[in-house]
Amino acid sequence: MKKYSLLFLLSIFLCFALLFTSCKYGLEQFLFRKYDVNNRSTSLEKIKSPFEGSQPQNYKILLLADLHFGKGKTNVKEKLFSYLDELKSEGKELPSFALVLGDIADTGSDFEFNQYKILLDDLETRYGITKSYGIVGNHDLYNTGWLEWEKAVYPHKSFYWFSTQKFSWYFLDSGNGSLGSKQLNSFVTALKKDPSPKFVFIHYPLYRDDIFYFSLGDPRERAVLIDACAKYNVRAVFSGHDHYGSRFDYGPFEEIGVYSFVNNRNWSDGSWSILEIDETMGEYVYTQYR
Amino acid sequence: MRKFLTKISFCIILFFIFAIPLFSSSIKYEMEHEISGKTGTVSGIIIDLFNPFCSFTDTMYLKLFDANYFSTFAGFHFIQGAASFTLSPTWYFFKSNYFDAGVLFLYHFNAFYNLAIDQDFFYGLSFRAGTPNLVECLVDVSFMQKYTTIHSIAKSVPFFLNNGMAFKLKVKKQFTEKLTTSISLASYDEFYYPLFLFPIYALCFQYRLNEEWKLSTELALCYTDQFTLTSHMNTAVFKLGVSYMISKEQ
Repeated sequence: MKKYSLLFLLSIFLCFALLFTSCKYGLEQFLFRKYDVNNRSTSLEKIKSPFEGSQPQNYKILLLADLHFGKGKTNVKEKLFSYLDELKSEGKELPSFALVLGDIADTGSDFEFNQYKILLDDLETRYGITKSYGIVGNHDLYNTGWLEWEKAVYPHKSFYWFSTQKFSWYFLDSGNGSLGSKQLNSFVTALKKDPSPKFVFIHYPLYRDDIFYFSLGDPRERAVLIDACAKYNVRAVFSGHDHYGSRFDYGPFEEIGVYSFVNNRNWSDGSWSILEIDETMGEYVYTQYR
Repeated sequence: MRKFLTKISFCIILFFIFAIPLFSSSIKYEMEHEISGKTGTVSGIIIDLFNPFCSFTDTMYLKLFDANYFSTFAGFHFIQGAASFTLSPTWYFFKSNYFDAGVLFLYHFNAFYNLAIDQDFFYGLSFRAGTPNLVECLVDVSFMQKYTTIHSIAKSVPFFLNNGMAFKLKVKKQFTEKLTTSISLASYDEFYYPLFLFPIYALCFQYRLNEEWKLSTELALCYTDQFTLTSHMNTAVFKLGVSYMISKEQ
């Protein structure tokens, strides 16, 4: 009897082991991940402003979130190019640079990150968008995808900031569903020291209506982050992850959920957004396109 | 604030211990109280060093008129920068040697000093199957509501609401008369209520010194979002506890 019980338990264990190792998302890493947030994002690094030399007073930024290259879903790439072609042909201003809010790859493979590089090459050669800044999403980390992300995505670090004439721009690493203690402490310290109005970019939403998943889950971490944004002149937080963007007004600042680049429940062909910045007035306008 | 909460915590625990004997002299009852003091460290989130905590809890088991079985967990927890209180009554409407089923309610209040207040409400079901000598399996599943008030934005947003779910799965085995071991997987802990699914894996040993006194130790590993499977171990908690049992029958 004991022997059969042991065999039964062993077969259950083997089934689980097979299930975990056969999944394309690398489920065998669900209890241990070599490059976690406390190793990836230990200190906040300042990088060069996207503008070399003179800084424009008004400019546009292309915002993309949840591209999921490799997923096999349709995306909005062709429509985005048509929109940019239209701007170009009408002599209107094109985006100066692009910000990508994570989940660039679906399973963290180099093939998927190569598709991202192709998109960036197209943006550069066809529309002169030479700089694209990325942040880490949870999908980018599957199958030790961090190593591929680090190679493929500018600025090759996951916790950084830069400043323009009036604004400071902060990019956070929430790929593991948490900022981790080191990053959170560094970020709050940096916000305290910096009096400029700020924009923050993060993959996981701080709060997404009453949904109980798809947002930062640790109550203390969430409270510290929202409190710091409210106190230290953050104008807006931009997040992705749930694919179904929404805006939430916290009073001192707002959170803008950016719709996914791939098709989602609401829009069959995905979406992109444009952020218009007025450095003189210190204002911004956010518009969603599909 | 901290001193006030400490005083209140002791008053409420004393009330729970003495309420039934004081106020119900005529009814027939069996009652047990397990009063525990725990201490330990939390390593990880917010403060990256070992962060000591202490908690005081009372778990009361009450059987009225040889029929309904009622248990209440009440406790306080103090850690650097926060104090919290949990009250969780469970009423077992079905009880047998091998299987119990009940309904549970849980209220958790957590004050992060000068930062935020969290309140959690659980409405759920609780089950127990098995026997202590063989193996006991305890499961509870609840609908969870989390209300969060962050002081710095309270004028604009009085509170956030997250509707969610919570569960606990615990397997317990009594190896000898004195030693009991349990392992558990849960989406919450007595004084930690993250959003779904930040799971907590725990291994616990209890050693009974005599009828009254019990020692316990627990190691809990708290992971971040395992719903999307890119979690990492965010916090490790080590607990040491001592419990005293009071039994009373009338």
